[in-house]
Amino acid sequence: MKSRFPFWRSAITLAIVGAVLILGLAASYAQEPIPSLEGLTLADSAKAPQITPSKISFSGTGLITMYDPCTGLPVPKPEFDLLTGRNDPAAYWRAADRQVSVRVKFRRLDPSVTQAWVAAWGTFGGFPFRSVTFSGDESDWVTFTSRNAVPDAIQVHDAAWLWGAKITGAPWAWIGITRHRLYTTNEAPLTSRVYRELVEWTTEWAQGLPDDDKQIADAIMNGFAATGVIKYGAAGWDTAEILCTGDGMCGGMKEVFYDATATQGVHVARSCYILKDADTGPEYQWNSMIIFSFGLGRTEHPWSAQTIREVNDPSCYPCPEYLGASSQDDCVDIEVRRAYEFYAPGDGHCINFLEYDGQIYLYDLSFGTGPWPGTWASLPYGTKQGTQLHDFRVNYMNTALDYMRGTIYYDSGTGACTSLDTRLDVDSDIIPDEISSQPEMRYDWSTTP
Amino acid sequence: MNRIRKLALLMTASFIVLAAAWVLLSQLGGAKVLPSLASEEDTEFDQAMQKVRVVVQDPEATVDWVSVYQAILKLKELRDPRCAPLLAQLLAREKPLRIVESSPLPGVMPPLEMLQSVAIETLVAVQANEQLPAIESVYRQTRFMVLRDAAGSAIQALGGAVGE
Repeated sequence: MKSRFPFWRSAITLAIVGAVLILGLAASYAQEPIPSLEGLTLADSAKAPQITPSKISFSGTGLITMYDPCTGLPVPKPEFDLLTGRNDPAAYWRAADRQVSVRVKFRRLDPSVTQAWVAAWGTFGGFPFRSVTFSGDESDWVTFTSRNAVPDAIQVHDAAWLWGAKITGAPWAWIGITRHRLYTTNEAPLTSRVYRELVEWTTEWAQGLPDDDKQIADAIMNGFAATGVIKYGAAGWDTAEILCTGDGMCGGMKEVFYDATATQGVHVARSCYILKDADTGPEYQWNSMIIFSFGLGRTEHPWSAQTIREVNDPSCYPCPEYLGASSQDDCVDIEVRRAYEFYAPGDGHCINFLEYDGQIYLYDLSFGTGPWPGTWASLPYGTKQGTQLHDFRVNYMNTALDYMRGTIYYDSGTGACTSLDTRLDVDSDIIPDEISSQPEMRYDWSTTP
Repeated sequence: MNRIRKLALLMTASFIVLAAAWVLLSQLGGAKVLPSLASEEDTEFDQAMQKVRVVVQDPEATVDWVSVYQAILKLKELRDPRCAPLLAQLLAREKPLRIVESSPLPGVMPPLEMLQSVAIETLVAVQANEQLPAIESVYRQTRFMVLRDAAGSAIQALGGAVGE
């Protein structure tokens, strides 16, 4: 019986089929299209994985090196380590078309595996497959770059990647899920030492905001005020110290706010004003500043109670009548309460200024307040007194602090303004800028623009 | 008679020599070494110096920084140049102060830097130009801008040059 297909036809057919099979097999290793999640069956996932991602280190342009404020060291790499259980966040500053790069090591759980194709599905489109080889129980570093760009926005990302592998002779199989916290900040940080806590906090607080310095600074101030992640009123005069202990004084608070906004690429000036004696005679205006506010992050006052001799009536100044603590009929109200007190001639208060759109805005992290507009037309330097302090006092200081404690003349009942024995606390609102052209208040300003 | 005249002349000469010596010592600031001239100021000076000395000589001592601050202010008020070497030693201290719990905390910078700031002002008050290097060292090294500004002003007041 004569065959319907001649031998040569069968040979050609077999050759074509063989070639297709060989090419298909080659393609499955070389350019195999990434299978969809649906291509992986439950049966595959139920199997014990033969390899698994064991170390993941974030890399690439725009990656921010974050520091631990307590150790002063960078947050260790790799960020993800299966064996130690470490899973630290990573941060990039935002940019158009920024892709996430990771360097990954895989751990071999089945000693027979020498090679595999690995890919991931999930956040930012996952990672296209790469070949992984094993000469021991852990692979070399393999670099993956995300299929899609990270959104160009200030954002907190909870990334999750489902890792799959194809090992010779087996179908694609899931080999693990890794989850990571990623932050995208507004701009490249302005400081070389970027603290992890500040990246985390400020990105959460400024999430979704446009690249607008004032909106970001406002959001950061509001974030500190609302969360109480750090507190004012105990020892701490630099950013690392305050982030590590959670407490600080104003000199450190201005550094924290500077570093916090700098983390998002926003610059603020740092400034301190030191209380000096404005009087040229025997009076001392003023010995100290008295502040009742609890301060940032506190619900009660940390400092001791003290006697406050309050002069609140404008008609009582500059010569209040004070007849003693027991008198009810003079200008002085006695109160014992807790307060912060900052002494002349060396101490004062520290704040920040944002120069924005031709205006200067004051931020006071110690008390979680700001922006305060209208305090200065330009950043203050050197000695400022009398009327020079008017806008600063009216638009901020008289509200922010309560009393100025001074050694000022008072009438002790003699009808003459000659007594200087007891320091009185005068409501800063009722102290004029000047009396007879003599300044009533004087501050020395140190400002780092 | 001659004997009496000679004795009178000798006494007069002695008095003149002693008076001249006293004036000279006063001009050199050495009047305070004369025990007979010991005054309340000397006592205040010694007490203030002792308070500062504790901070300089015992890095582990727990101190009331406000009290030491007041002591340095007293030295500034007394304007006695003998305090300059001790204050320069205070500027060289790096170890943070251990302060008594009852001390209120300063706001703008730590207690040690508060003391160093007023020490610098005092060195200017006593015109301690020979301590300029110590002040310049603070200016270069401190990370606290209020102290740095104080050091910069002092350098200029003492005739030095403030550079970056």
